[in-house]
Amino acid sequence: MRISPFDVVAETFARALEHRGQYDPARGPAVAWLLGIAGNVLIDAARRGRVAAETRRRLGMPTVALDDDQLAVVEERGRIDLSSALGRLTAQQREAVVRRVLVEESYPVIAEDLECSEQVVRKRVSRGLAILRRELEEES
Amino acid sequence: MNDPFDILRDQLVRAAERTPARAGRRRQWRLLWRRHPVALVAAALVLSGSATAAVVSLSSRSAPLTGRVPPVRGPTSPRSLAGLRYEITIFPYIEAGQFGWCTNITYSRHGKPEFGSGGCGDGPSADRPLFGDIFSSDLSPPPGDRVSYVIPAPRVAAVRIEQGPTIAARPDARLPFGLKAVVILEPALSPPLAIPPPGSTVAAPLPPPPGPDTGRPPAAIHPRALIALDRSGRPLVTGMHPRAPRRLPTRFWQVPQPPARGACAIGARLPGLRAMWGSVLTRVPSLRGLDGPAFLSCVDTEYYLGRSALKAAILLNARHPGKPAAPLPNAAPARGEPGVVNVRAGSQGDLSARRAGNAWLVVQGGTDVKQRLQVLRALTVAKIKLGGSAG
Repeated sequence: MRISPFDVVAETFARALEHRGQYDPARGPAVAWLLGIAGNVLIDAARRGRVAAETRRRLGMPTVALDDDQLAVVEERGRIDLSSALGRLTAQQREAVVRRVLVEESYPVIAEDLECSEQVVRKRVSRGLAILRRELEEES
Repeated sequence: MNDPFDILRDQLVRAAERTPARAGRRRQWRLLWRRHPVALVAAALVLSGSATAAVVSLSSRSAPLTGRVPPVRGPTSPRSLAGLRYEITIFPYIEAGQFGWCTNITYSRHGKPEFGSGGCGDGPSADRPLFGDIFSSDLSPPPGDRVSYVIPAPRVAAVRIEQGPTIAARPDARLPFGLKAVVILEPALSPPLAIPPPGSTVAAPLPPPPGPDTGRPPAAIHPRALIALDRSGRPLVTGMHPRAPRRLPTRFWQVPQPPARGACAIGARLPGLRAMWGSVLTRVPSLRGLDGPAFLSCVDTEYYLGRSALKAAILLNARHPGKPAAPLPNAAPARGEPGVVNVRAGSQGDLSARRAGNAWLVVQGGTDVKQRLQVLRALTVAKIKLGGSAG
């Protein structure tokens, strides 16, 4: 039995889309909510021996049959070392990007913690993301 | 060939246009990847990995490494920390033979440090997913508010408080890569926290605090256990594991003896700088069973310059001593000193360091950064002899 990582991603986002009205930002960042859904998809898939597709069917999303080139793309994305890419940012850029993008803290909160202006935090996030995009594009 | 993730995105966009959000709460669905491409890559990275990977449902978030202790609801004590800023730092344990980390928490008011506490311990290993102690500000009754924290190994996804919430481990750029932090802001009167002893999920009772003689035996304090959880939500029980690294043999010396001979040596040339005591590894092993990044201190020497005490050490890559040691966490370039970095360590004394081949030459303490840099410039790595294995 092999569980397709792409199917896991597809079903996860489909469930997130179907239940998007239930997402409450006060309970945590969207990434955390998404990963919680992914966990349930994986546990369910391990029990069934395959990834469920009911949510995608309800939403009218056809199953995507991947050819060899597309499978290679999925594997390539899995090899992207985000940790290494983040390591190429300065410590200040890295903290700003992680806290703003992944943890979804607001600019005022980050600025107060770092004892700098919001403008400085925005610049660090902007430059950090630009460097990340370039690094990840070069890797892929 | 169409990128399969572009196909998926288009499908989701069309599905979103066709289907309204479920009744009860109307929120605009933000297409995550358009505004947060890194978040999508992070999610895709996690999900496109091993098929057996599952994720802990995150119910509560760790507080950050720096912040302000929030106002407390309910009873307080004169030792309340509410309103104080706190800063948690982590830095290498530079005593010879050690391969762990030191942590420190400093509380300050209006920019001035008021007090701090910290300690050093072994780093995470195969049998020790939560390393260090719980550093709490106050344990004796009546307890004040507390900022407790623990540094989990990379494989720890969250920490559960006995009869309490599960706290997700929080990454932070100031931590060595792979390590995260769990910072818990505890209100007054809550029982303290403790890491269970090896092989157990129950915390050992703490000795009763000093208090007035009531004629009855004082009651022991029963702390709440902190349980490390993996990504599946399963507890990681500590225990003696054959792969865990053991204490390494060192030689200690102090004046009037000359510095002990061992695997490493530090040279010094600065008038007035006196080497007073130190320790040195007898041999440098490659440590196995470590969980996460680590430095191995090969030699340490306590110097005095005037009345100021400074400690110097040579740090190696603990897993592969012959390879370059990792960057020091939370290091900032020293102004005017190419190749030199400063590391904040709070009340335990900041560090300054520079590369020496594959190792770091580190100086901690002194009256200020200027003195520390003066001593660092005067020191050299006189010897590093590799060889041997342990674990």
